Amino acid sequence: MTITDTLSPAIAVVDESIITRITQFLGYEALLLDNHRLEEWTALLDENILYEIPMRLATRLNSPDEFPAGAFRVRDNLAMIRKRMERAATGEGWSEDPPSRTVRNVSSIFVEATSEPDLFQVHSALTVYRQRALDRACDWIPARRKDIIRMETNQCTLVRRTVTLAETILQTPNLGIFL
Amino acid sequence: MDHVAGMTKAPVGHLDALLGRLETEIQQGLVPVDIFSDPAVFEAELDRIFAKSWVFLGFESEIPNAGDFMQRRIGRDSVIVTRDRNGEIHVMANFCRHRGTKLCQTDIGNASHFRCPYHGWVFKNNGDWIGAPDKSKAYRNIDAKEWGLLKAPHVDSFLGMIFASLDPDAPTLMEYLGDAEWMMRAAMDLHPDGMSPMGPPDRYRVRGDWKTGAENFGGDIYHVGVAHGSVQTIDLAQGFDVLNNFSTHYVLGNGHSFLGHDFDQQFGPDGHLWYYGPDIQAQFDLSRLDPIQLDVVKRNPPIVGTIFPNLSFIRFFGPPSPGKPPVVYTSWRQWQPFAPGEMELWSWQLKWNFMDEQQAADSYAAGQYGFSSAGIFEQDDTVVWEGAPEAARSVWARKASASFNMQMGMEGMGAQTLDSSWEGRGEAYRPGPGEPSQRAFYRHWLAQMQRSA
Repeated sequence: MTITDTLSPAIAVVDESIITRITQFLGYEALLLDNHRLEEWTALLDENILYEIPMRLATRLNSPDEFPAGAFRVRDNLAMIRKRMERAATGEGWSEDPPSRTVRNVSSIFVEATSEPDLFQVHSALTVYRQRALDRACDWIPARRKDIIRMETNQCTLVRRTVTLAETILQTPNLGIFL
Repeated sequence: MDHVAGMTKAPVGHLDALLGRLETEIQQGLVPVDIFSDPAVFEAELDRIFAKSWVFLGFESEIPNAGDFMQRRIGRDSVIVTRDRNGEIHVMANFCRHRGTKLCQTDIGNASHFRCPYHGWVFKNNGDWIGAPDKSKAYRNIDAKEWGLLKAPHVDSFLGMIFASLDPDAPTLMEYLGDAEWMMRAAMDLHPDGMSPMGPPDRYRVRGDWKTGAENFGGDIYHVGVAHGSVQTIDLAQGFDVLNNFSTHYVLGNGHSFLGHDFDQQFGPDGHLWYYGPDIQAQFDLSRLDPIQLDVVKRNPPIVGTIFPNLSFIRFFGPPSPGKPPVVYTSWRQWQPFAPGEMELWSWQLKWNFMDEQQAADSYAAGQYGFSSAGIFEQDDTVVWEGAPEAARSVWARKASASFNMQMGMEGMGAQTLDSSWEGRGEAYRPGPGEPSQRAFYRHWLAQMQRSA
């Protein structure tokens, strides 16, 4: 499988019905996560999912140092994601119990076809509002996501998600929620 | 052991009254809540602790080549840490001497010199002033020696770690580390190639006070079963209910403390040396240690520790992915003061430089899964630590002169005693539970705060 990173006009033309399905998928996903329906959210994940949040540095323009090779905040496979969910349900996962109330804004959706007919590379902007318990502070988590989404007849699944945070120093105290 | 010079106190005021109260109360194991979010305390900490202590800045391997630099902090001050063309490391204030513009606005980079983006003053990467636009017309008689960047008077390295002190009268780094040097060697100096970080620090702003992180990692085993109980519930750790029984508090002077854990007693005969797998243990050269250090790492190796003021580490184990065998990780962390009751937490994962790619990757994965902005242990610390500054801002708490309780293990509280048979450096207290490290931390903090600024 090869996924192009540079945008080619030839493959950037994607059927409107596909864009609709993907937009619906992202909206549904955000709905589930905002409502703490993690089990249902996990059902949308491919068994080989890679969910990653690379480390990011402040650098000069176009520096290769901006995303240091191999450095990440999160790099989860499905088993790791499931363990995080299990922890959230223990009643003693204090970072998210009481849980944050979140509102995910998903926008700037851009869908690219790939060399695989059932796989699409989907770019989106994500802004999460987060307030945990009675915290006075209002947390915003601004990010861009690059997803690989598999489209089958009856459902879409998330195969890969790379979350690029706008912040180099995270201003919310932890990444106890999925982005 | 404290390097305390001149005990002259400033005029009595709010801050002095508070410090005076701590001076009395710490004898009973009490710490006034006020110190965890007080603007006067915070300002004094920057002045009397961060501008006086040896402060950790990063690893030599983060700037391996001539010209490499990184932007780091001493307290709240931005500093540039550079490696010049001779390989020498310099620590400089990150502002142009002309109008204060930040010279280095990135986390890292490589440059032989810094040119100010405002008017163009130029400084070499060792801090020397080397010129300005129209120099012959504008600054014909300037004394270049006077106008170089402010430089830290003391910079030194230990086991690949760079430290600096802004205090011209500072003791040497080795004197400052004192007995902690010996314990750090036992944890870090097990192979001639040493350890180095895998990537830049993970950084996140936490609404807790920097002291809370420092005291916790100096020896708070007591919180693990409660704050991190979830990790045991999901079967990624075990034995949390009895951890206290197997701990030794190493109180090493100057505010430094480490916490040892008896792995053999808890986990069986293969537990020693932090539960490192045989592939890693085979690489260690334990002949580098003296007999007492050897006994420490085999029987009660330090699993956490704090070098005063704000550098800590944890060495623990967990699976790189659930279902895989556990691997040991070493995380280095720094509690950067940000505002009263707020810090930035900076966290590095370290590898042994002898590790192959897979060993390093597994250690990084396990470490980040446990201790990072998304770490399943660390997340919970970031929220439980929010309480102390809140209490410190409470009018009620202040009116009631409320103090926090650090009496655990004191005379009459439990079985913990100073181990008189301990032959290593510093002091060893056991068995748990106890809080001798925390009390030692705040005693040293107090001594630093009370010396003349």
